[in-house]
Amino acid sequence: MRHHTFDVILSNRSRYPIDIVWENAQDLEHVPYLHRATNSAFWMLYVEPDPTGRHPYQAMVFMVRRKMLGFLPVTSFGIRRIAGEREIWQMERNPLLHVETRLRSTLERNRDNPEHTDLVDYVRVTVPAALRPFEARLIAALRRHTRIQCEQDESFRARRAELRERGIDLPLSLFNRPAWDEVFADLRH
Amino acid sequence: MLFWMDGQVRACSAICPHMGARLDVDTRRGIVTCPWHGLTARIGSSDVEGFSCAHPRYRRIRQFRITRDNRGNITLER
Repeated sequence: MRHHTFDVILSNRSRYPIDIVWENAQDLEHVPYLHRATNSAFWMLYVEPDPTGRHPYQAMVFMVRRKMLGFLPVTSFGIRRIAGEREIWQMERNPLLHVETRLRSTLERNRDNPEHTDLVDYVRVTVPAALRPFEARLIAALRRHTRIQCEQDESFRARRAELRERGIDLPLSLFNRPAWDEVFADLRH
Repeated sequence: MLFWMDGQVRACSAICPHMGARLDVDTRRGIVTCPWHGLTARIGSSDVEGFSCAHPRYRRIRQFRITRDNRGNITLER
């Protein structure tokens, strides 16, 4: 199958400080709950722990069920790696639609207001060549998708900021156990 | 968090023990849920039973004992 590849830069802004936005960026398990209009399920298949202990994981393999057009379920596989302080690399592939996205997600303090944060995603998208005429529409859909998710994530950030002000310390941590442990538990015997 | 269920006033912490999300209550289903990661606690039928979770790390939601005086005032005790 022939493919078409294009690049897009997605920029969004948060009203919260970079440390809080970074917590939200690392957490992927909230996707089917906080972004339920566009996602219906998330499975953390395998997790590589962070040897430094500064992050809840270093890398993970995951499977996510997205809602295309708001209702059509499509399941994608992905890998994600915390590539540095406030930088995430992620690749996601849908084997049915032959669509692949590669993403470098970065955070920066806003220049005008250092208490606000700029989220910049550098994305490379590969789609079947037949979708080439729809490139502009796909880019518009990506921009809309990330803008809506960023707005939805503001409630998460607002709550984390409130907890900090109240002196409640509940650090970022994984909620689920990786499915790997259960899937291969029987084969160990 | 205060709510009515089965004709009783019930009270539990509104803070999810995982990362602190504000918990939602569904009295019809008798559960408390976390809107971020889906932690679910079953609301017991009495104060003693409390709010129990099936999660291996987060077994319970903190609850409060409720007392009511003759004038109808409600006091929460940890």
